Amino acid sequence: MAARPVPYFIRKRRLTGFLFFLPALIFIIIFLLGPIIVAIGISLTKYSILSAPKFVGFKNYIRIFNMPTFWKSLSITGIYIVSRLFFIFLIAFFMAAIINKRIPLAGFFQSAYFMPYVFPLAVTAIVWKIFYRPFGFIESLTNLFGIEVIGWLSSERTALIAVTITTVWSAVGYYSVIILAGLQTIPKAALESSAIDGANRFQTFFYIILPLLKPTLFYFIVVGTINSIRGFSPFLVMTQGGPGDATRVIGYMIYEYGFVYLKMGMGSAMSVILLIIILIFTLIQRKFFRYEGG
Amino acid sequence: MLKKTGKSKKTEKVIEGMLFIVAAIIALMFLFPMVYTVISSLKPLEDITSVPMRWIPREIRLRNFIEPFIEKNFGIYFFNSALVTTTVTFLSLFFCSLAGYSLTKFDYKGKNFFFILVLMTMMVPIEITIVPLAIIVRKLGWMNSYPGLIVPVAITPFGIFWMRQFMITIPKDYAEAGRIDGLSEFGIFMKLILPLCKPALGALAIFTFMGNWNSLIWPLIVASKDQYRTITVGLVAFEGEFFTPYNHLFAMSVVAVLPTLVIFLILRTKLIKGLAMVGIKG
Repeated sequence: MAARPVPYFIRKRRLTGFLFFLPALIFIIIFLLGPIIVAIGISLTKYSILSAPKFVGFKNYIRIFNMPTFWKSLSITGIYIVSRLFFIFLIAFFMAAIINKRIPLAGFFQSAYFMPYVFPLAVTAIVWKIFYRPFGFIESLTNLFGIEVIGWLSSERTALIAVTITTVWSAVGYYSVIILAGLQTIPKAALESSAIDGANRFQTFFYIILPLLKPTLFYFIVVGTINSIRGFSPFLVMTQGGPGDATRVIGYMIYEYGFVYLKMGMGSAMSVILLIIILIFTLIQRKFFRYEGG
Repeated sequence: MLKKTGKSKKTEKVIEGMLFIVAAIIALMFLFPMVYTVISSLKPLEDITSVPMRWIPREIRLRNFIEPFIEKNFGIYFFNSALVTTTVTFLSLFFCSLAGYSLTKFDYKGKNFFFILVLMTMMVPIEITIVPLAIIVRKLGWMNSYPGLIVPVAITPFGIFWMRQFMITIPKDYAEAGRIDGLSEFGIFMKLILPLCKPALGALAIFTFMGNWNSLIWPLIVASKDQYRTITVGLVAFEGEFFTPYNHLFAMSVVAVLPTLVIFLILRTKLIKGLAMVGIKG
């Protein structure tokens, strides 16, 4: 049987639908997809703004894989993300649990926790950089507890911790809202029945709450990881990768190669490697969490 | 139902009291740096740099808030931030909801592919694309210009995703009713669909406004000339100077934070509700 011709008004509606998406499509092609393809192309060349790109094959990649600073940067990024998300989860979960209990002033507390998130990260970083000055705000506080560090940001041991504290402070309220939303989807019946079965708080947490929070956790880890990678401006403002290589996270290193050393080829090659790492990481997480969602 | 004994009710109360104290301590820890920043913005410089630090200022120095506008270009920085941020927000709301509408209420070839495209590009951090993006924008001749600051960030895949997730809950009947009334497809979108999306639009407007008011990396790359610097870029450049008066820096930080802070304080519940929506669906 021959297919019936599609009525005119349906064809027109289809075209309208497509036209409504067209501006977004053009935008995505030029400013998101295009750059990725350009990045792959440039990563195979030697290119600075001063000279035309010169094809060098996989030389940039070979050089990068032989660079100890690159591997160090990856491990620092990994340490940063894991420790940051770990502390964010601990604090944010606690905050969410408190708010969920509806203690007095819960709304006020939630706003107080959330507030740093609305500040520009660059401003937060500038202000905290001054806080961390020798004899500054932070040291005046830590001295009260007998902790003596002179120059949080100028010591290799403390610089990464200092930046992590700042970025945890800045974002934990936001994540607590996400976790709170997850907590509120847990049916009361599940908690009540586990109480009837005599489960203690830890058992309830690990066997009831955590499994039911899986979709929220998936969202938290994916978004948290990507936000941690993209939010490298504190490193740019506070430490510029130093002292030594102690805080040279991958995002900042790409920025450095592209815009400080003007080695666009090397910078692009690092971007491509980072993209592949993120893709693999997202796929693994997806498998691990068996995420189903809209 | 489990009937609570008097004893367990009492322990509940004790636990609640302890939680309240811990919550208050955390809140203090979160507010203290902000309070300190505000106090410092009112101090004479010596009260910040002296050892040991002087917590309570000797005099309140409001000139900290005026001098940077006269001695430096902070007026231009704030104007640029305001212009770029509002333009981007309006463009983003319009085009993201148009795209989201297209993805939910129309059937055409490639629609599913487009949605996958949105999801894929949503995952791509800007670090992947800044180097080539800068090259593209330079080729377009947009370095040190408002189009360079605005256009490359005018639409976000997240915005499209966000609007799609909301619009998927709107029944198809609305559009049908509009068609019967003889509205054009674009008229249906503007007059029927958009008003229904107010909560989602409000939240997206705040995200977009905040995201762009706060953004540093892209404007830093585009605006090397002082006259195109946004407030964040201007502040970072100011901080990087050989001699920076910290009291001025604190004062300008306070002003830079105000717009997003005020919006947050006014629209708090809406913002938090919006976030909850993503948390459950995405």
